[in-house]
Amino acid sequence: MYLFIGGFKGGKNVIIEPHRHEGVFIARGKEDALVTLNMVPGEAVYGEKRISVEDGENKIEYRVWNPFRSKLAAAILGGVDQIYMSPGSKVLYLGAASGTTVSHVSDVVGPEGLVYAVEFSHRSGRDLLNMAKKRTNIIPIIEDARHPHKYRMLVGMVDTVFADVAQPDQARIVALNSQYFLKNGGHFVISIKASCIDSTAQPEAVFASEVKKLQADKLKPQEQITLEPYERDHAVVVGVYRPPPKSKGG
Amino acid sequence: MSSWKKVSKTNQHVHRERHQPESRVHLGLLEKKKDYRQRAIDYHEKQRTLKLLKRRALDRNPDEFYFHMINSHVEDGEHKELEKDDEHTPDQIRLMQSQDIRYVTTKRTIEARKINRLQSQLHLLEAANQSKNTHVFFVDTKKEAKQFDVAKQLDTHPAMLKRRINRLRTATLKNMSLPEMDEAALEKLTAERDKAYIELEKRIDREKELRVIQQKLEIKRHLLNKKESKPERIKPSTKNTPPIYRWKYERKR
Ligand SMILES: C[S@@+](CC[C@H](N)C(=O)[O-])C[C@H]1O[C@@H](n2cnc3c(N)ncnc32)[C@H](O)[C@@H]1O
Repeated sequence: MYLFIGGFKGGKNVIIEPHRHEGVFIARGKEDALVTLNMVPGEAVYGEKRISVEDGENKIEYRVWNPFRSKLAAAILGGVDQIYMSPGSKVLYLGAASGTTVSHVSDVVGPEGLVYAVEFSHRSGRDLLNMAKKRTNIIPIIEDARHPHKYRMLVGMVDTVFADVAQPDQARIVALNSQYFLKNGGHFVISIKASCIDSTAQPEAVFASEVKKLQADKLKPQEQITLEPYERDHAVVVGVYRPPPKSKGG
Repeated sequence: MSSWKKVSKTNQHVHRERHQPESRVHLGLLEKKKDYRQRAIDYHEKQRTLKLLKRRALDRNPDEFYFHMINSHVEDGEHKELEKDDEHTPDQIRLMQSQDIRYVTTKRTIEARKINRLQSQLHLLEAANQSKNTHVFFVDTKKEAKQFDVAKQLDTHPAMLKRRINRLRTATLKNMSLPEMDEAALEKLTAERDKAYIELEKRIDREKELRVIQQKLEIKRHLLNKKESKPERIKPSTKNTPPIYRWKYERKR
């Protein structure tokens, strides 16, 4: 089993290191970058750099995933334990914007997985729709995430809910969507921008109060990580929804 | 044959003069032939002027009057013209200043765009390992908290804990094979990457400086605006920050 591919033999100039999270890699060479395996080789989604590596006969292409523009990427490089987006899993992504991060999540879950991308702005939604034409594992939904009943017919049960809506009532939005679509014992990953929730309070206090709100809705937090050096006063909280009761021994 | 010589020269490499290498920048600009010529011409001109002035001093007629005598004076042994100020209308001044601001803004935008492009593939992975962040795990009981083992929780080797960007799982670590490395290629790539990082750092610094200049200019423009009431200065400007002024709030109808 090989895990490092690329190497420097035969004019190759990049080394690809597998990441602890499946589907994610680190490319070192001229670049120093987090990358995902491009599901649609030959195509960039938003003008990001692509890196192709020859591995024996077949060519593999990676896309650079910029942690300065994606909270999820920043959390991954910050050392988050779990993202719960393994290949083949189904993810509900709230606040997809133009789909930059969504495209990488789509790479990570791969062709067997599925990403439901919810965004209410029609302008960003257009880019999202265009991208979904090329990436069959993305289902774009242009709706307000506050009203999950409007898209309940489109979305099945999911393994993970990811939210980056940057709204003060984000916890409630996540809770609502979890009630509709998240299976018991499924997971949530949310990004919290302190200034979006309360611009006067200390960021730590804001994170703590958000965590409280989540707990009240049966969203049990497991870990919380801040996003330095890529973002200031941002945190990502990962947790589990309605976990099955623990056995006595554990 | 001279014509042949000329023809053969067309294929030659053009050797441009090099500029000061990075390692010698502390010595200042590297002088080129062009610069030398300029300096030499200047030097000779000064020599000629001196000679001329000496001649004139010798030939001087003490009874003569020139207007220049009353339009100039000597200060600390230096001959100076009596200065007439440049004349500009207020409109011209405003225009010149707005042009300055616009120029700085353009330069800053260019700089910012270049930073973005560099940053999109240089993710500061080393810095990310070293910079501080907070990572909290939530557990149910005090006992669990006491027994908490980070390496076990993350399913990784304790030595990996410092390597935040990628703490590989134990299973992966066991099965991993290291790639064959070509030392020379590795070194070359590392050098290239380091160079890119240096460029990024310099551009970030430059962008910061341009931002301060822009802010300072903007405040200066507001201060010159006679229609606004005179503000009160809260803080003077420093090298890294523009001054802070407080304007009285004026209701606009
Ligand atoms: C911070 S951006 C998300 C960026 C994106 N996650 C990325 O990394 O590329 C937040 C997005 O959430 C969207 N949004 C805000 N409130 C929403 C809502 N109630 N329903 C759906 N989308 C919403 C906004 O339009 C905006 O595009």
